[in-house]
Amino acid sequence: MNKKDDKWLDELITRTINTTKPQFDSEKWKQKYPDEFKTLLSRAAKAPAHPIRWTSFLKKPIAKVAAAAVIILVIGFFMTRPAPDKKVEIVEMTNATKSPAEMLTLKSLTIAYHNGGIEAVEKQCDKAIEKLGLKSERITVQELLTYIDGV
Amino acid sequence: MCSTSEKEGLERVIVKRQLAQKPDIALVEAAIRGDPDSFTELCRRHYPAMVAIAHSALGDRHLAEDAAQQAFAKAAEKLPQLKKKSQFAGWLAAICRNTARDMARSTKLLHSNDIATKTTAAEPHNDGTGEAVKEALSKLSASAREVIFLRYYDGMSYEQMSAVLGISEQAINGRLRRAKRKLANYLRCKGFGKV
Repeated sequence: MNKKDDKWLDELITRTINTTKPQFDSEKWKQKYPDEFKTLLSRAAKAPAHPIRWTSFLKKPIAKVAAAAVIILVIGFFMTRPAPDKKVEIVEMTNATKSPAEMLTLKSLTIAYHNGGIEAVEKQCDKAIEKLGLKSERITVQELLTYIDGV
Repeated sequence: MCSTSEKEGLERVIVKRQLAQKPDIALVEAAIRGDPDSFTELCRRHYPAMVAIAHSALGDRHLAEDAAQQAFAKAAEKLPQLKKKSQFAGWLAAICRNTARDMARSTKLLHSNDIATKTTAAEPHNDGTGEAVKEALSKLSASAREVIFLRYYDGMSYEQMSAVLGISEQAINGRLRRAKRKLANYLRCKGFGKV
């Protein structure tokens, strides 16, 4: 359609359907639909004075950042926390594969302590001593330290 | 010195002006809480568009005004059910469209021929032009006719039409162009628009 078409068509349509702008008469409407108007007014009594606007609160950027931070923290907590089965695996692996000297390093003992407390540390020490082929009643702490230091 | 009635009148004018500046969403929220003035402002604001929509379906100005008012009554009752408050105009238009269709069915005006003969109450011209345009309008689809009525009835902008019809301005432009092309072709066949 070209501009010429637009012009004559616009004129024809405007002449045909362009009527006076309708004006809304609220008083007439209220008289015509009294029940609906009453329904509208009745909500004023039910509505709370200060409605809680959770939706508008959640739209704020700070709320979004806070929600994201909470989600990240929760995911991080569950990802870094080892599963219960894994604990046993670590203890068994430490006992089975490492040499007595390795079993008594600070790192190994710390892992054992985290996994099973002081009892796990004692167990690991006993196993290390067993591997060394020493009887626990004969060995002294001094002897043990001497052996570990390799002196 | 102003009398009490004059003061009240002045206050009402100020309130009306304040409401007129508020966006739809604020008025809808207030109306849901039971503020009649906010609802009245919404009605006043969307009345011409609703009459145009109803007119495009019914083909009669007086019936269209009735349909628009009935649509407002339904909206007043269903307002708390409105989920997306920003889409009030589109929601209201859908109610008005359905109301007009129901009215058309009940008054047996749904046939396009009837729409064509009752497009306007006033007869601006007696040269047959008006009749031909009405007939051409009746050949259009309901959605195309609606766009034409909104655009020419109240001189609505594409932005306003987009809010009422719930489609993009580009889609409205396309729909309007296609409708006008159809009208032009039909009217040209009838001997109009020839230089």
